[in-house]
Amino acid sequence: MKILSAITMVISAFALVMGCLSLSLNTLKAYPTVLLFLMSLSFFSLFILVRQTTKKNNWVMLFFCILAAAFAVLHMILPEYLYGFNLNAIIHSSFISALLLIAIATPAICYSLFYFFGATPKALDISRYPLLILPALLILIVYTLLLAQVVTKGVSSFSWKILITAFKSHNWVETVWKDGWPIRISHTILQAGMLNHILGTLLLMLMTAIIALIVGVGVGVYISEYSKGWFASTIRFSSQVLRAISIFILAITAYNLVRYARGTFLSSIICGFYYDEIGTKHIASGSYLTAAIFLALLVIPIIANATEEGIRSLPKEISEGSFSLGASREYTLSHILLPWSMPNIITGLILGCAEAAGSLTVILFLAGTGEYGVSPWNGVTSLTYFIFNGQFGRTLGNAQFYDLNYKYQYMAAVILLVITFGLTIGALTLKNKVARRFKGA
Amino acid sequence: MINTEIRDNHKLPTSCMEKAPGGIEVIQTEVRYNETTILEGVDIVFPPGKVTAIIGPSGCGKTTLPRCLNRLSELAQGCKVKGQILLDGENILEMDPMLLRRRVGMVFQKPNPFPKSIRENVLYGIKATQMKCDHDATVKSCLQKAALWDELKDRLHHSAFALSIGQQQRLCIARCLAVNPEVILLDEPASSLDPVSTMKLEASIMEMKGEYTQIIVTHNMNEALKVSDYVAFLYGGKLIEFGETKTIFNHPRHQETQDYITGKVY
Repeated sequence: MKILSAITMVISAFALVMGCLSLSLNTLKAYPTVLLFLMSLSFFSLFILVRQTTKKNNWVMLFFCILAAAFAVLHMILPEYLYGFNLNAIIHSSFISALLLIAIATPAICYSLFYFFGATPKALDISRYPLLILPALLILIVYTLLLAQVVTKGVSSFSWKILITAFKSHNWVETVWKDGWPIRISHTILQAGMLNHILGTLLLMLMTAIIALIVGVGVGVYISEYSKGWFASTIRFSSQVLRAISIFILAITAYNLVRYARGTFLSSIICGFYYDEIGTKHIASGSYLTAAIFLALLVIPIIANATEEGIRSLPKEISEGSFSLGASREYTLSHILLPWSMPNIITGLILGCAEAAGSLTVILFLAGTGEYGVSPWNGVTSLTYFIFNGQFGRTLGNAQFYDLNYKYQYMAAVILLVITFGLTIGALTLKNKVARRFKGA
Repeated sequence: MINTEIRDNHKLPTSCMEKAPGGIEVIQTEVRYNETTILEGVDIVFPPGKVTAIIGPSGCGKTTLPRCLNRLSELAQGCKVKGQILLDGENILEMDPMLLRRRVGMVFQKPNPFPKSIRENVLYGIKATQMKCDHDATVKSCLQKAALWDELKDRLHHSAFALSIGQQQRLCIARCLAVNPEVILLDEPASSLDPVSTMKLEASIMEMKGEYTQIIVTHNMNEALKVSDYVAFLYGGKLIEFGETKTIFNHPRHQETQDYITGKVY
């Protein structure tokens, strides 16, 4: 019994992994039929064995046995692509086989575990684990595949030169007077690179963090400490609603702001500007400042919420203790409440910065190619826009950018990953340090 | 009952100044939370330099009374205090609460050290009120008064949260002493402590007699008998009886007091 259920377990575990893999790969055509037949066979032998030892028929197992055999036959006659059946797409057979495999392998694992541990109540408990683990396993496999793809492609296309040079694509004509005659010399600079995009991402994160931290902590403190009644609840409600606004609407708003600001006295700040090689001033389609403000709108509710939660988690006696020593409200706030809620604020800030680094939608209509420098009033760009352009640059009319940089989009993705991972790890360490220092845990 | 000399010579308290204990006079005070009346027509004179115990059954307002004396009750919404409470002849209801709370310290029911180091905890009041004094000497003297110095002198920079509950409570007393108040309010300070810590705490209270006016809320009759010079018995938001501890415990004038002390009812 033990041996048989162990064999069943191995087969069905293999089938489960295969099923998860065939969700994303379509080259595993050969395996599912064999596996389904094997599982049907082991279900049948388990059924016989259980019948002999306990004198009872486990009809469910027989049902699964027949089902597995039916699925195996179905899989054999399945065409490679499915269409029709009122489906709006063509479905590859690997997707169907994945579903079939998972549908059979999960109960097979449960039953084999149950009999492997001797059909006791504890074994029943253990046999339920696969059902709990399966979703986690699915997610893990999908993420690992995605990550592995990005990392392998990114590392293979990695190049130090691209990392430390900025993208340039510029033509201009210089007129030189020689012997009374004008001679026109045409200059062209074409240079692949992503330095400005990396620095731009960092700058965008920094500015967003600063703006959102100041405003968000202020709002959080105001809601939890100073304002009582309907005004506070209105602010809280509106900050929650702000969080729920579709990011795309914010992007459109930002785009319109830039459009209307063009030509006014604010255009240098809102639209951004740059000087090219011969010193001509150009107006960009949106500055880092504008992008950071609109990204901060997304991050402020997170930080305000975190601050409020942090302040609320402080026992009331401690702030009363501070008041009872003659401390003013402001002193209590800056020396007790804010240090106490600092870990919460840092968590909010991590989330916010990751959002700023990874968000494309907000800056979609603002971003440029980032040729001319990285400072708050230059045209905004970021790594996400680099990746986006590496995929769709030709369609969007950024042909030169596409031609030079499309090879490096996975490298950009890897760098973006490194930035966000580094940020998260750093912030978590900082948070633990702060928490230990102030809470004495 | 109020020491007029102290009132006339009163200056801003600093930790380095020797200061006489202050007397508190509560005149016809009424406390209401929204619609509920907690205290009604209370008249008590807390004599300076003595320990006064406030006893009474739960819900009689015995926690509310000391909270009015340093105006912490104002922090709660809907709380209104009417009447007159005089600290050395000044009406505290018209004083700046920050200044008042420097003169009237408080120790709470549950130990509430700040999430900071032990040293920072003791110095918190001094830093918050920007008093000028020798920090190291203050930490030492305050911890000595609270009988903590010998235990903690090697780990002043450790977190106060790592201390035991009894130590935390004594740290709160030390913290309160650092701003050198005239009056100390103790709101059931021993209710969450073990017997040994309670003994140490009572010893510190006895030691501080004469130096500070102390008002201790307690539901432990033995404690009241042991540490206090005067006892006020509150019942149903009213002051039933006030007098010297011996008189109250031996010859109470009211039946309610007699019953409560002997544990017959409530």
